[in-house]
Amino acid sequence: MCGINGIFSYHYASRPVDVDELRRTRDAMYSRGPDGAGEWHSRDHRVSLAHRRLKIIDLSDAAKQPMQSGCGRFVVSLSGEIFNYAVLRRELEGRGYPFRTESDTEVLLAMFAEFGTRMFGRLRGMYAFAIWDRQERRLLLARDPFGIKPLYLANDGWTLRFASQVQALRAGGAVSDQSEPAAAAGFFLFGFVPEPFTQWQEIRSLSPGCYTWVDALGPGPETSHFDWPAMAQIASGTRAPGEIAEAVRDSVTAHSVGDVPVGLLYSGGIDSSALSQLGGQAAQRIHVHFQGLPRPAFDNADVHVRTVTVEEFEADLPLIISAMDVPSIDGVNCWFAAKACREMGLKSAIIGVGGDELWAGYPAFRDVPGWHRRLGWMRWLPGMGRLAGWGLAGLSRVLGLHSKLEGVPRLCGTQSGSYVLRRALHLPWRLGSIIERDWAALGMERLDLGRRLQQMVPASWRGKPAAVFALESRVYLSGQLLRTADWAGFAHGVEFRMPYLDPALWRQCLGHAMAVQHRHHGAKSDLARAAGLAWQDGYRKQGFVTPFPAMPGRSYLERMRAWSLDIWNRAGNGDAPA
Amino acid sequence: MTRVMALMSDAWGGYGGIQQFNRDFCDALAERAVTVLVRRGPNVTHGNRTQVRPRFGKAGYALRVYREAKGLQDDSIIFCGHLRLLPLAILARKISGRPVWLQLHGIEAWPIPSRLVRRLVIQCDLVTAVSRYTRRRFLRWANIPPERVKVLPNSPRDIFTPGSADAHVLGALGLAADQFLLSVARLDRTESNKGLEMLLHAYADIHARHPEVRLVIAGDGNARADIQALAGRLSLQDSVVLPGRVTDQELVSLYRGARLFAMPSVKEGFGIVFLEALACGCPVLGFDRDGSVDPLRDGAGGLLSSPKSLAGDIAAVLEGEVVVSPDGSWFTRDKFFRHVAALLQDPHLQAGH
Repeated sequence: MCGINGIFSYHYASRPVDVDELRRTRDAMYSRGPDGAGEWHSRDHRVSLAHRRLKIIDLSDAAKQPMQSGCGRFVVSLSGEIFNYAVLRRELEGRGYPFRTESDTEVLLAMFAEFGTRMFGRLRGMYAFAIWDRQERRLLLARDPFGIKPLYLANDGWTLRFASQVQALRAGGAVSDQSEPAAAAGFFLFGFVPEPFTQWQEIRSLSPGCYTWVDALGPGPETSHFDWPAMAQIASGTRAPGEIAEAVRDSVTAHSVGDVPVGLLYSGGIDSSALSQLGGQAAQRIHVHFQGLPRPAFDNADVHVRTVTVEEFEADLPLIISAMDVPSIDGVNCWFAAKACREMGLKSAIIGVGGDELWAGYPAFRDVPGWHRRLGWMRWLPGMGRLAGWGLAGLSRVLGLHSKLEGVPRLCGTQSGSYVLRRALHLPWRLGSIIERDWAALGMERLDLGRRLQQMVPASWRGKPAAVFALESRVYLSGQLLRTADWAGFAHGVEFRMPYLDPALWRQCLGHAMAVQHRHHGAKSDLARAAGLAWQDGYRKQGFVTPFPAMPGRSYLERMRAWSLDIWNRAGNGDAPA
Repeated sequence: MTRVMALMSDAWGGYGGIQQFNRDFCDALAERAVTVLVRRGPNVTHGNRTQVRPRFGKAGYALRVYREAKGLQDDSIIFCGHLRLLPLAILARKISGRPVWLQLHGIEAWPIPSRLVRRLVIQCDLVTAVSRYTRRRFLRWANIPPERVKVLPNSPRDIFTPGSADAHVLGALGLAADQFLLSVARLDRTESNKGLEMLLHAYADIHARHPEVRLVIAGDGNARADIQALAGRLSLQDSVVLPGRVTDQELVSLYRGARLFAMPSVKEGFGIVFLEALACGCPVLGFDRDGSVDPLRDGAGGLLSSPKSLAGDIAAVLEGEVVVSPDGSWFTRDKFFRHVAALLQDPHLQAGH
């Protein structure tokens, strides 16, 4: 639930918080939290927190935010849910904590008062929050392990501003309008703006799974509270179907808490069917069908099918573009799914996002290790790749071969290069023909993919197939899927819950997925079996299909390229003259 | 005992804003032993602060940095007082494994530097910029996490205090208290950007209505004749006073006696003269587009103007339509000292390698 924001005038020379600015930012997030608004100001006007509320857990006014702890020392503004709040609450009550509300927010406050930052390992949920410590005069900002809930920071050197949305920070009026070249380069390279960048230079996201302290010197270094390799060690080795089923059921059950009904977005594919079978039986299933695309045949009739016509799609496209908090070529499907939920009166829905990352469903899980294994030797021949690339580029043009072929010798020498090639919309050295050449070069330098991707992979996974799990989760999932699911959902005041992005489930099943990563579709067949679904070897991914408008181009890649240019220009990201 | 190795172009024995900052910074390090390696200036010792100027030019300087870096202990830090010296600071970091703290003074950090500097700057552990604007310009090209770049503003020297102007000083220049506008600048042709010509034109506009108010531009340099000539062309030679370079004592009196201090600069890293004026109780006016907005605290500490509205804004102050009350308490030496002491404890410097 909810949208959060705040201003901290941490530097001694900065001006006190401008309350009007705080409210402008907060109310620019109206659709994230139409059920109420709150604000809290420190007595010296140096720090303010604000909140827009979507009521999900404890619908009473006692649970409104920002909320102060019983002792009065901490103030919190929370976006998202702590799903295991009931368990934690019982434990804290055992330790003598009195509770005034039924909300998860109060449990978060008590957890922090009791455990400090050691609490993160105990939290099960999707969250982004700010906690102001009145005694130490410092602010804690944090995000959940996968980065499901967004948190953007704008630090000008005197004042720190943060919010759940990029556009809301700009709406406040005090954040620089300097655009970020890495955003343009990243968008045309991948089709989305990679974390931590946004289209504005001054606005960055807090990294997923990290927290940071802000004190009189400003934000400190980011600290990770989520340990990837440790997770895979706990889980090494394969799991029996029963164990997988139990782990998924546990997560779905945990993700179904709340005081409002929770729906389930149903594509008819393995991921959403398994969620429905394992724990999600009670949830109303919703399927979004785009006119003109094939419609899957459902065996049971209780799926609510919402058909989107071509006319509706075209009429809504401007709304979708304006809702895009950060530009992306994805999100249309999520946007209509959220619209369908809203029409049915649902504020909350379970979605299968993260299934391909956990169960190694994407082709990248096979292609990246394979390409790197066969072509890794190329990095020992400096210049060879480039030379061979030129040759292949010429050949591709003459023979009409795949336009990314020329990237093979230049990129496949390294694992991260292979990953870039797999996910690329355009090749890095071709960006200069889409956006201004110097801007593209500066953008690529700031993206610094070689170093950035290397750092995302835990040291013990580097060079191994396991690295793809980290790359998919920290590049594509966090930069593309989670950012779009967030803005698309909140355009309609709907939160998406993602049982596949649950640390407890990953601890159980990641080792299994790694053991069968080499198989076609990875662990998808095991998931199907665990859920009692029929599995055919000719399985094709269902997923949420996006109906691209009639775009020129023969291949899927060419249509995506045309679509990306259209999005970028419509979103008015001026600095990239075509 | 913690040691600081500071690489600076010059500190003691130098004249100018950066040199003043360097001396202040060393003073603020308080108890710590500081070795300052400078390119210019004398070999001197002030308490536990030692300034050393290695001989034999750049090569000798680099060699000395290398030798000092070898001897750095586990709790030392390397302070780099100028972007130009960054390659040597990073070299010292490689040798000693100790963190590097880089200071940005202003316009040197604005243009995009060479690829080498862009690669080296990523390795800085902490960067402090004099103003938010300089920080933003730096972050446009420096691919460094923004939280590692802080703002460390200047502070005025102790001699700048409020009080009444020395009548002798003003009398010698033919001035009366509250009857003149003041600007202070180094009148170099290279610093033509100080916007003094704009100020003269604006002054010409309001002169007819306020003939009793004179304009004083203190400072010397090869552009002084140009300013004089422009004043002549605008028929203001009797109203514009160019006293040249003034002593500290004279400067304090000018600040105290001025009706308004105006520095309409368009390329200002920070503008310590604003702080000097404020510390002497003089209202200030600056432009709204660069580092100047920091000493003026976004308009809370002084009047923010623009090239188009400059004449009107000055007239409004003279006619009492706009009241700008000076408050020198925001940027003090005490705050600067405490800020430096706190930054020494910053986690970015403690992380180690």
